[in-house]
Amino acid sequence: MSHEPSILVIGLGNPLRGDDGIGWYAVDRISELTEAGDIEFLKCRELMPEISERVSKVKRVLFLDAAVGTERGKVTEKQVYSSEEYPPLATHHLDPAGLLAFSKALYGSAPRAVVMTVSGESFEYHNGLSEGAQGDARLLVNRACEILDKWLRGKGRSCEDPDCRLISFLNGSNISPA
Amino acid sequence: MSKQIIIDPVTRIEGHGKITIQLDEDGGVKDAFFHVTQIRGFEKFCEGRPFYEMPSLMARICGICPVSHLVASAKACDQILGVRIPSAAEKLRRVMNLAQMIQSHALSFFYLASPDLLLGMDSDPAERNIFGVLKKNPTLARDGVRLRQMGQQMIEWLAGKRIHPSWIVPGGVNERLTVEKRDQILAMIPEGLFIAKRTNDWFRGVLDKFQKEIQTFANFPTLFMGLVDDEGNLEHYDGKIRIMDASGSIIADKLEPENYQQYIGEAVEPFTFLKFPYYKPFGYDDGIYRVGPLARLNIAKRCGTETADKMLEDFRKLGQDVVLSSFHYHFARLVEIVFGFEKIKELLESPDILSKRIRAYAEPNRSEGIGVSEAPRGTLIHHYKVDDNGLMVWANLIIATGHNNLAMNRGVLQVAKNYVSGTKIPEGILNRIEAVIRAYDPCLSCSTHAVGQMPLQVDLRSIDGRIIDRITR
Repeated sequence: MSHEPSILVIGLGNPLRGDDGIGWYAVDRISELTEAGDIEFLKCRELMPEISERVSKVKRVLFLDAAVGTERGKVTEKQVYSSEEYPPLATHHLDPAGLLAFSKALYGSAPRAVVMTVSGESFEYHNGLSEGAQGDARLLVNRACEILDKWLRGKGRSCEDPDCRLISFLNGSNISPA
Repeated sequence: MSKQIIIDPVTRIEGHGKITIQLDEDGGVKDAFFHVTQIRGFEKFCEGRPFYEMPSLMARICGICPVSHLVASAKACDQILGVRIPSAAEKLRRVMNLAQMIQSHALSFFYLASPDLLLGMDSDPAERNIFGVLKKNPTLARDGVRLRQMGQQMIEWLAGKRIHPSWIVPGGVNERLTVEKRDQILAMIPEGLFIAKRTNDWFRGVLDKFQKEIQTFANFPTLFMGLVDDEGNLEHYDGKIRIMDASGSIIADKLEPENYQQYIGEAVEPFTFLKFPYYKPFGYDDGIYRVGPLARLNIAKRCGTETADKMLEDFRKLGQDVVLSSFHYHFARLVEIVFGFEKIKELLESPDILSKRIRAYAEPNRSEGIGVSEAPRGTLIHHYKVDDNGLMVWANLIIATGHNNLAMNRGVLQVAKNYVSGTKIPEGILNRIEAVIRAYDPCLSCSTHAVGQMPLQVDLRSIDGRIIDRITR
């Protein structure tokens, strides 16, 4: 059964800057667990207005990113809403609220969104996560899968669907993120 | 008592700059200066690096026009290798260069300039931005986002990523074009042309509202410089340098770009980090010239594609012998967006565009290489010298925006003289001063080979430096 994606997962960050690649890592791991179906994946170094059309077409957005200075061993989650104030000029970057504002203003739709982050340890020039961040990155993947499962179950999905592997993972199957 | 008006920073441009307007004893404008406050150091810190790293390094000068630096840098490296790149590689580089032209011009026109064009120079600053455009003309805003998206998408399909792509390399490109990607890009062309033409129709309709700006936005005689092909037509990747004067006479033609030091000098002024290139035979200041879309359309005989050539006819009607007003950079960008889509289609339909012969390999065979191309903002020059091991010993970059520095300063002075008087500084006048800079679409991060948020503040200073008045945005 194929569906138009109703969920967009966006991994943010620069994978050439060590733990700033946590968002991309998480997207890579989660996307291995699900095939097409309801979830669309996107990896980007920065949010730009040009992404807003894709955002406007889904019902929910999950942003995954690294944070600086937050509590280790913990996933920080925050609902994010379309910004009421005008976002920055946006020639260089937007934040999630600004992107939602563009989506609403340009295309009439700002989906419900959550930002999830874990603390990064090292942001030096390096391809790959630091040892200290790898555990937290797996936490991020697990928590993201829980949220996605909840969103999918809310749509009445079942294990006959292409997203079954995602749900099986959460039910403790042999499938696990690398 | 003389006074100064300072606009710091200039808004809605790429990079950071400030403007100082010096008033005389009677409150009239005496002089004006455009200060570029960034310094980057690329020409210095690349010394000691292998020459083949230069395209990747130089692309990091800018996040908006990295492809331009990739192209010019790769061409300089091609010369160091002593190779002639395969035909398919040249075409693919051209496609990517044009895709960047489209997205960069879309950024400039829609994101940076359209708030002024749609809402007016005197509109509320809180509304004079892309969201204000959205409220008043949502189609225009969506069109801008879509055009930029298209250009960036083409770049991503070709090179794997939108910003700082690494696909263009010394000797050619590092991956052949697939049928799938070619067809994806071709499928975008009709929509892109439709949007560009719709924008052109809208823009022609609002031009009458800006007659005073057209007359006063750096509307003065200068030379114009850029690349043209063998037939004297619009060219962005290769060709020879042509220089035209304000009466439309070609004063220098078929100049080898590699010999740029024979006809381009660079002066330094104490009030800015941006150098002042000038046409040597005419000397500093008199050798003032402009580059970029306005210059390219002035010097070219034709664009060479159907719709762009029709728009070029309309462009020529905006002036007598040549189009002098820098306000018309905006229209020139629209012409080049249309040209970009049409030319990309033509290149992608070439029989050899899918060829696997996409790169020439060699060891360094020359100790010097010069790469010249047309970036969205104008002529771009990368000049490298290497040692026997191919390690960089010297680099000189002349960036498009740098070529326009004399003209930008003179343009600010002209606008200031027409709009500033007394000690009252209405917001709209400040925006006009900034808007003349914006017409050139300067890329200041590039041109001082960025960053730091500065609060927007205008200081009115007495001749002894005391702040008499201050405006903050």
